[in-house]
Amino acid sequence: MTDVLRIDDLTMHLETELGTVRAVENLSLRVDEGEAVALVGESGCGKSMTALSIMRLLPPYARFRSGSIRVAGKDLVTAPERAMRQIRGGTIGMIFQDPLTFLNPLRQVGEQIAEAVRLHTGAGRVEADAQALEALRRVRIADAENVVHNYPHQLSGGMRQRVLIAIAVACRPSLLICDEPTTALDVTIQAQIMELIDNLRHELGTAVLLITHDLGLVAQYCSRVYVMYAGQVVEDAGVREIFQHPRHPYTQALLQSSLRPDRVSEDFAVIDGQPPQLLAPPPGCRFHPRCPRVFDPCPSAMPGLDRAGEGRAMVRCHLEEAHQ
Amino acid sequence: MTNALLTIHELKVHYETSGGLFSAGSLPVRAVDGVSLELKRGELLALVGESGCGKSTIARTLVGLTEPTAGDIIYAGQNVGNFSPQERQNFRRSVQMVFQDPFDSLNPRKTVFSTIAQPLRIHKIVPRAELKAEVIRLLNAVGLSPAEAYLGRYPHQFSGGQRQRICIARAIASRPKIIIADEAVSALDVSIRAQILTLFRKLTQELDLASIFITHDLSVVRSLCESVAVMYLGQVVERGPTERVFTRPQHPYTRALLQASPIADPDVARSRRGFLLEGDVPSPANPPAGCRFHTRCPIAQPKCASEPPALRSIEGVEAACHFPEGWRQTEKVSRAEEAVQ
Amino acid sequence: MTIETSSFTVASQPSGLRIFFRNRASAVGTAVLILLVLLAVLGPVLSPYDPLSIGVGETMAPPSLTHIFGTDELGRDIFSRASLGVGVSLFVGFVAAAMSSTIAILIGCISGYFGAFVDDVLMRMTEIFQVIPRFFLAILLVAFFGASIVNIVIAIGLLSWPESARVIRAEVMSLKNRQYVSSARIAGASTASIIFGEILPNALGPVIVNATLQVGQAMLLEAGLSYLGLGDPNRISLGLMLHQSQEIMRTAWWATALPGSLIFFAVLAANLVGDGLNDLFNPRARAR
Repeated sequence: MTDVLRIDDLTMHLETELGTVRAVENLSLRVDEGEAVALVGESGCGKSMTALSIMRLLPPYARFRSGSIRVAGKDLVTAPERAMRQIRGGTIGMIFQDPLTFLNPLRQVGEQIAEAVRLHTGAGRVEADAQALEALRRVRIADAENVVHNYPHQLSGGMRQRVLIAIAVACRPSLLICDEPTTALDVTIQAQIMELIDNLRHELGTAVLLITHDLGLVAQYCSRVYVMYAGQVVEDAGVREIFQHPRHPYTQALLQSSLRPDRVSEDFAVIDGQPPQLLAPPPGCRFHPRCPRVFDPCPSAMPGLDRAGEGRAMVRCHLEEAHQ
Repeated sequence: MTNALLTIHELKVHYETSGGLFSAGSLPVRAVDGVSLELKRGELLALVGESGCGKSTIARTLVGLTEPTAGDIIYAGQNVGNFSPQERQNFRRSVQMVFQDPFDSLNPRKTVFSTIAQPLRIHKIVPRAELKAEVIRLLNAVGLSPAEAYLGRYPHQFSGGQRQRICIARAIASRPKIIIADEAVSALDVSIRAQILTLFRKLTQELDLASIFITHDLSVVRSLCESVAVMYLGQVVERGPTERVFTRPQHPYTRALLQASPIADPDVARSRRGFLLEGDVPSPANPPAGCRFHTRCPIAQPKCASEPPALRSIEGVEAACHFPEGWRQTEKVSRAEEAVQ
Repeated sequence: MTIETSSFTVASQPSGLRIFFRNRASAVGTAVLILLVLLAVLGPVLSPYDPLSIGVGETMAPPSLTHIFGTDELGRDIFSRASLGVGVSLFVGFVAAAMSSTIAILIGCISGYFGAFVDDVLMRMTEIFQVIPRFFLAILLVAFFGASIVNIVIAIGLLSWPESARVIRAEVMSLKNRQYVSSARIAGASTASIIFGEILPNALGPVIVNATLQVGQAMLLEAGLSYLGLGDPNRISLGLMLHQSQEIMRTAWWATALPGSLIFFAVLAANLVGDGLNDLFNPRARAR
């Protein structure tokens, strides 16, 4: 299997007036062709910053400190802006939590899809319009002939997200980054959108990087999972392994805190406190102030991300080192 | 009826959407359209449904932010509509609310002390001299300590979880009997959400509070609430004890909601059998005739389009569906098909 | 994504004062305003001449070491007169702006909070005030009630509130639906305490910006009235000085140069400060 995205040891800092925000540190991540991979974590853990790093849509005060982001043989960390324009929307499509922010309120949705097509394929106007219509059908919009002429405000939240997906996949990208794509939607609409993304993955062979806080979506739609905490990946494993045998105490806590509609949980509040500010992360293991299993080395030494065994999870925890 | 602390009877809340001098009138939005509910002393009742189903409007009506168009609210056996101003004031004090967005529900220019002291001052809960001590006691009760250090701080100095604790402190300050939590944990991260839910459960037990927990998240309901009412387009479509409703849902909409709710377990999540709802929720300004769910219902019959179903007892719950058994038949069919394959 | 990035922006937000003074224009504006206030306060100390006395020097003497900005046609010291005039201009500017802001706050809050019929009535009234040419109505008022400085301040104050009132109304309309306002209502707070305790403090930003801009406008309006000879003849204002020296403008340029440029700098400074405050209160302008 070849990878469509390979991030190696990426460190990205935000140099703000108040100091350095360690948004992403030593992050390695791989997405294979046609695969659905999840990047999970709570708000402020750096998962969205990772996505924006891939697209190079970062604020001007962001700085890459080390590492590489490889897509189709190019390193996006050093790629010129011109090449990035082909990558964005061409090789990589992206959808966001709030589709309305990314749609021009004054233009019909058909035009907006056609424009994306023309930009990346050099197709003519007529050809692009036809492709726009097809893109809307592809995202299961029943009334595509009419919706082409609608303006974003005429559509419901779910429909807008479909339009955004249509734009994102119009040029048949090899990777679709979905940043909290359903957080603003109702559950029944969320289910529709997730099913759609999953179907498109199968039909078009587009790999999906799902960035979310919702472990339920991860369990249902992804095959591999990266768990992020305070700018770092703390565990990286296959979906069954991570849900059935979570190894990092944070992953374990996260799972225990996640309530389920199919069973009653009693003790779900397992960790106190809140995730650290990335402006001044704690020394040693970043999770140690909240960790129920903290021991001697944790406050001083940062654990490495090590493999728990052949074909097993990668875990950033001193407990794993102690086992070996 | 006798041990009900709060009863809502046939409540209707309609909004006029027209505004301004020159705009033409349009259809009223029927946000809540004939809802009856009952909250017992000490009960945790969940009100679930998708956006636009009217669950937040019910909350706003109970705390007096919105006036009901029709229907009765009965508190401790007395009709709120007949209350004297003094009784009404007392009722307002007894029903408090916690909102969804912790970044919007605290005045950015007021200190924690003056935020929490406000209801204490207005309702003269404690003498002026004890105000500070009482605020400190409340902050400790919601797990914010050292409370003294927090008194002079402003909301922006707190995280989302801490802000929600402050909101809870403000809500319990006036010694209420009922707390309404409107999506109170929806904006919080998983680990913080668990902390706030635990606090909420602890406080309702300690203070003997009844609570209406409004949410779109069914997973929270299962572990927190004893009973649940499912709403769709301004009406209750199913209600009953949580365990019953979750294990043997009778209304197809409840089933669809359960089916769509994510489950953090790959094996369970992927082996679920059911259906996805198509399309969007219709506009509450112009709801479908008959059963309001019939336009999206997979087992709808001609009767559903003409006759609105009433809530009736089916298998230990109450559901508003003409053909609850229709669902079981389709399930049998799909199992049979599977067996053949 | 929004939550996450916003938590980063919150972290990267510098303090208000730093934003204000990082904007060079508003820093300069503040400095100029402080200088003008100092000039008005210290004028009598800096200049040995009585601004009202005739013939403290030769008539129409050009700037020299004894009279640094020269004298006018009656031999009065221009610098002492102008320092007094600056004081009057600033007084008119600030008092008129304070008055119009007070009216604007009352009308804007009531209109925005209650909405519906009250809003319709108050907004139509505001529109009536907005369409009347301000300068001509000011002339009319002054001509009718007499050209005392108090009347001028009242005339300007009464005529400049509509814009601010509209701004505040819009602000109040959006703030009244915030959850903390609902929370205060649920806590049982009275309408007045909700408007003035919960909503207004959060709506003050644009009010302050507008008030600052109005200081400049009020000073200009006063100068215009005085220049046309409609000002208070008993108070030396910068406009009055221009009015009195317009006949000698060609022979004694210095008689108009100082009051003219002081008006210019005062109005400019007020506008620069207003812009700076706008950057401070308008989050969209807070980007790095």
